[in-house]
Amino acid sequence: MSLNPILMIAVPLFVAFSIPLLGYIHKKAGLYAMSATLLFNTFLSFSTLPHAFEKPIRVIIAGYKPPFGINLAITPFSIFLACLISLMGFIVSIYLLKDETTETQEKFSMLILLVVMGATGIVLTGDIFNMFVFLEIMSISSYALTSIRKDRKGSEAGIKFLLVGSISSTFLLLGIAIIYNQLGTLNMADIARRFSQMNPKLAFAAVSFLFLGLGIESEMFPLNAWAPDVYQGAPAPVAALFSAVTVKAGLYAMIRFLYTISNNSSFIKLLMLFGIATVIVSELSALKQTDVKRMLGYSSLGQIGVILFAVGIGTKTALEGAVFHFVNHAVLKATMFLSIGLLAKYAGGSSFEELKGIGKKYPFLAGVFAIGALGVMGFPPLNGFMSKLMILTAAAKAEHVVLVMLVLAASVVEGFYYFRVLQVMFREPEPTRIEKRSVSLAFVIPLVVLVGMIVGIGLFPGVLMPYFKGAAMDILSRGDYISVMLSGGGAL
Amino acid sequence: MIGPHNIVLIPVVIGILAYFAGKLVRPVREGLTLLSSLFVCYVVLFKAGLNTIGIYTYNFSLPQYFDGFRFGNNGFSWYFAVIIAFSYLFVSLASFPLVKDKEYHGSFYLFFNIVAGALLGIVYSRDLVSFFIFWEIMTWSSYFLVVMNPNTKGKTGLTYIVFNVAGAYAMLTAMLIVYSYAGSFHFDRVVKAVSLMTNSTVFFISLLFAIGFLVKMATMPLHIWAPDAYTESEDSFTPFFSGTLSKMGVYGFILFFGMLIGFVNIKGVYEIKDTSLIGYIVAWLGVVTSVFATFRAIVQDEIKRLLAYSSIAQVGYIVTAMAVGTALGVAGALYHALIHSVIKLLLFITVAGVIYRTGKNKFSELGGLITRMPLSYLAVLFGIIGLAGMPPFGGFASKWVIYMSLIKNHYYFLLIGMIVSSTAAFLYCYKLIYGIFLGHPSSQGLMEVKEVPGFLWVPQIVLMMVLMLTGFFPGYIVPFIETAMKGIGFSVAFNSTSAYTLSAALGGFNGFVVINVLGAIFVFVFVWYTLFFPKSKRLHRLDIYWAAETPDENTPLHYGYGIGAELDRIPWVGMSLRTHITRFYEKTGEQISGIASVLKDVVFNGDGQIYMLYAILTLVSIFLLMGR
Amino acid sequence: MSTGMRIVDIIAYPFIAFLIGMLYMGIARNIIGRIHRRWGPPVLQNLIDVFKLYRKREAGSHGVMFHLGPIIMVTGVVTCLYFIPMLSDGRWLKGFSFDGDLILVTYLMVLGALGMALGVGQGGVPFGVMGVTRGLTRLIGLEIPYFIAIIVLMAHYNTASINKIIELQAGGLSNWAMFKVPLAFIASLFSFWGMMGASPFDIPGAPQEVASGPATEFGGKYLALMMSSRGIFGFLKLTLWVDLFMGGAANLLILVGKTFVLFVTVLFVTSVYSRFKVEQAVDFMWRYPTIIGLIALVIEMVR
Repeated sequence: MSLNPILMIAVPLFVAFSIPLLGYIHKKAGLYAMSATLLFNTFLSFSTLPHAFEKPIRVIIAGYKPPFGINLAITPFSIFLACLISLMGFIVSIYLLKDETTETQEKFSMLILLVVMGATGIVLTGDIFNMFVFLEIMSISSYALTSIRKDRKGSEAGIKFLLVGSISSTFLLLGIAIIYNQLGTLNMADIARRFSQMNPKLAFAAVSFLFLGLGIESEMFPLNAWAPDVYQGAPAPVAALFSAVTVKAGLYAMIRFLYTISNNSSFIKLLMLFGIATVIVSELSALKQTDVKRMLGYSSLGQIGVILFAVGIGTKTALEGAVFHFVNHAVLKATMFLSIGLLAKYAGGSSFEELKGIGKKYPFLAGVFAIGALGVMGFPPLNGFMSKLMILTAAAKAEHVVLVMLVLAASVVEGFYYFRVLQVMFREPEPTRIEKRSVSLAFVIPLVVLVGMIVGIGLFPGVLMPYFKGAAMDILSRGDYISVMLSGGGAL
Repeated sequence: MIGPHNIVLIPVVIGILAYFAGKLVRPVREGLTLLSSLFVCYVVLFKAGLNTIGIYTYNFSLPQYFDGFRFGNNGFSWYFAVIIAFSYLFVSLASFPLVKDKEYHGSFYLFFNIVAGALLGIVYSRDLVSFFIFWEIMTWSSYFLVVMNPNTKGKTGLTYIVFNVAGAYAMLTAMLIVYSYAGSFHFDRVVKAVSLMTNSTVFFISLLFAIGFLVKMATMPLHIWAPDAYTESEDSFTPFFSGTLSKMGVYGFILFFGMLIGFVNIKGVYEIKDTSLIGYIVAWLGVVTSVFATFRAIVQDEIKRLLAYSSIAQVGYIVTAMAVGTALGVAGALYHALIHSVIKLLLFITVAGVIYRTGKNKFSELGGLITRMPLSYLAVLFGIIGLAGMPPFGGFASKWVIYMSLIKNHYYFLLIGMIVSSTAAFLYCYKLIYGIFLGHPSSQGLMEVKEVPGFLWVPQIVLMMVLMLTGFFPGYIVPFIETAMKGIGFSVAFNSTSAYTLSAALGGFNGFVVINVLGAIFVFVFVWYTLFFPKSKRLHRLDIYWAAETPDENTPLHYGYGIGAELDRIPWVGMSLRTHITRFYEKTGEQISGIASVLKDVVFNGDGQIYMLYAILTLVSIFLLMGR
Repeated sequence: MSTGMRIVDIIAYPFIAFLIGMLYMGIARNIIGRIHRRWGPPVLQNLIDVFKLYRKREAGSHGVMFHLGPIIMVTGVVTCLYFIPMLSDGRWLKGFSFDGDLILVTYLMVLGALGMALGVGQGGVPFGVMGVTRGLTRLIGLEIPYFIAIIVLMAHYNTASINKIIELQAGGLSNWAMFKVPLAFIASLFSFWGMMGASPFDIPGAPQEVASGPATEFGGKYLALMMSSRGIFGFLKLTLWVDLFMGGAANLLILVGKTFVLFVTVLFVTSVYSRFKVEQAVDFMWRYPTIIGLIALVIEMVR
């Protein structure tokens, strides 16, 4: 296949804007269009994957070569994440086919396409302002998606998201402006090549601003206070999307910026410390939650903290572990949010009180949740174990033993609250006020696929290992990035 | 070919298969489990036999620097694998009638098989990662078996998992530190790396490893999960739980301290009384555990809880024996590990059967069952003779070795502590057998119960015979123990050469002579008595000495269930019964909970403007801290 | 030594113990009587009682275990007896002592009591069970100083075999362990008095409190067997202490002499002191004799 990867961005954009028109043909046309588009995206990304791993591809748009024009920089890490994002988006979209929020179906599908498109754009682009644009598209669509149900919790969460997100945008823009002022270019490879030419004070300011802005988007402590509210208030599949897609894009931007563009080792170390802080604070906060969705939000933050910690360590093995954890976290959190969404819907709410004994009424769904929980906690032979092990091994080799112990202590706390939820679900007497309804196929298929991925990756981690290695190498070797993007990429 | 490297898969796969297949035809689960356990026994005994030492490396699908998973077998692994295999078989048999009608039938067989498989994985693994993987699998599968029973309190399961996971993570930290020195996870490379470490690092990792294994062996102060977990778990799982899972801690401890780190190395670190500091501390912990747990066992009214505390105490002996690191001590620990597994399997299986038949699990509700359940009575009798460590059965032989090892190396104070516990053990042994089988029945309907189900007879009889044979031929096990110890690098500890005697260090005894003398006298007196005297008159149960009155059916006569009430009045014992270390853990838990509440309410307080403020504050602090 | 003589030697063991034991019990009652300023029963009274009980026509039984209880008791006691050498010359009256050691003997001593406890259990008299419980609780107290003393002995002579300990005490009065490890001997004496059932430690069968304790329900031939085994057991303990601390005995007369001296100390203690409660007994044994024993142990360790 030699389709231009730009289609990964162009097609969803086009379809998103034409969904209202399609809505006149059939009420559900929007949802189907969304799924079809995402399926297309998935195929395209997967077919581009092997090429990009051989040699990174540079796609030029509108004929302007860098460093003047906007281009796509399809490096191993980028395409890997693009695959992940498209796949996760597709799986969630299948789930949404049966979702019953009928009146907002068009808006739903449009916004989701925009979110996925924005995320794909962020990971594929080679221009920093372009990245900002896509980030904005993604963020604004996310704000809307959070409050799409127009209920109290969602709206409140949406407002908070908006408030903090606007700070993020402001600072990002400031940082980019400083860089543009100093270097006169917006092309990431060019900036990377000439970053050291910047005035050090201004460079520091720019890096700090971008660190803050991207940190908000990557849900780093203490900038992630908005996240639990959002995870609780947004509809479950949207929450799944957020944890699987948007935060990954934010993390990509952070990594790309700190490693490739600015190569600032002190900020990378800072990332490690913030990561540890995120882990500890999130896991402890999750302890006292009585609402399972909110608890999952905190747990998600904890896992991101682990990724940040791994990225901050900076060795090759740590980065491999981090990329592995990207995949695992996306899959696991998607599973958990999707299953809890259904369980909460049938139980009438997502607090402990309402979920008592639900495991006996819906054993399949609760079983899926349980497998997800075991994976998040890092029990072998599921996927979470291997990535956590790799990260901790890398940390130990880099002599950060105390930090390893802190992460493990937080994991013990994590185990406590997850098992508490499982006990509430499975051991309480069966609730009599809920009748059992059958779970439709559209809900079951994505869950089965996700569980299959959890178990499969857990048993055969080596299948994906070459991709992790490639992605980690890509992150670390900024010289290659610069040379490839500026001189011309590989063939499509 | 089936061997130590893939025997793990058999029970695990069978477990999953059984769960799903059993949804169609229920008895398939039992059948599959039985087949699996028989097959495992066969393989362990014949294929992965005593002298097979092989190393198999799996390189599939792993990150490069893990160097592949390694599995292997030596005398030491074989010793424990035999214990695991036979426990698997006996508990499978025992569970058939006991779990048959329970609603969690499928889950039970699923997780039980997985646990058995995980244990085999632990003893056969030869690199740190696979050891840890199977340890974790054991942890979560046993967790589900503990909480499966609807009578289990929620707190029990959570305490269990938190302690065991924390212990496992302590172990993981130590493993990672070792890896950073050794560059590989394989056991043979690890051995060399330890000599490169500084003293404080060696002490630190041995502390972490000790914590990991002491949790599993329920040694104080890490034991608080054990009484509840043993008592409340599914009745047919508890034999496996208490008999075999705790021995994994023994395996791990001896493996890491004996072979990988080396008692010699940790002795070099900080030495006290001719042994390492950490070993000495752990030995004292073992003694303290056995003393405190024994006294707690005496005052219990629930049968399983008494046995739970007894298990904790007995494993305390094993901990003491092996922590001091001498050859004879480790030999004693291995011997007692075997004997204790046998005893606890026997007792818990029998008790499970009794509870199943009578529906009661407290001493105050039982009594007088000897006439209805003679086989179970005999089983419990053998069990308590073993628990108390009395000749002529096997319990004495293993205790004798432990005592000798302590005397030989002059650890007299440890020995005295052990004697306190050992003598007090007689009380709970008597309470166990009196409360259930002797005395008078305390509830209605006890005189109509049947003997325990037939499937339990096989494990009971076989285990009783094992106890007898190890008593009559105490030296029979010695060559196996010596091969096991050679596998970890210890030299010969015993002087004995025949199966009849056991001799080491300061003395020896001939078990065969003991039983012959005892048997001859018993037979002689019994024959003389029964034949040469007029027949005794059978009296009614209530026709007893009662100060010139006659008790009736409603007089409470089953006095012995209250044994232990007087212990409170003995000063030291009363004090030990009143102190609870759970308070410490509860306080810690409350503290953490408090911090969590603060975080929840203050930091993540729902005010969007505060969130924005955080962002600004972060920026400011970055500037302040990192700006130049 | 020919097989025939050996067989006679072995069979004679329990009978010697029985006769001398019962005789001692009779003499005891006389001496205590004299201390109480009365005559006391005939010296052979205990033997006469035992024979009378054997001749009873009927005995009540509560079941199989009840029947077996006294049998196990006597088995345990006699088995233990066989592992203690009566004479120190290694030829006559040595039983099977070369096949067992001190730890074995210690545990065998408890075997009889436990067997009895099972019989008492089936008997179902609360007094009996009370007696057993009190006895076992008292045991916790008694065993500690006893064990400390044996540990001191084993450490001092570096062996656990009783025969070897006797051997190492050869060579005259001053070589006796009693004088070599005096503190250990004193500690062990307390345990010894307790085990012999001397007041203040005669707790299990305290007549005014638990109506004979374990022996309550037994009558007729059962009681006869119990009394016989009590006699044998008494002699057993005396012999053990003589072997361990007083240099053993070269012939039967010396054995009788030494055991009698030791026995007299028991009598003096029992006739003077009043009974402890069981928790007081345990507490007492854990304080003074234990401390004395520990001091002996420390001295031994330092040496």
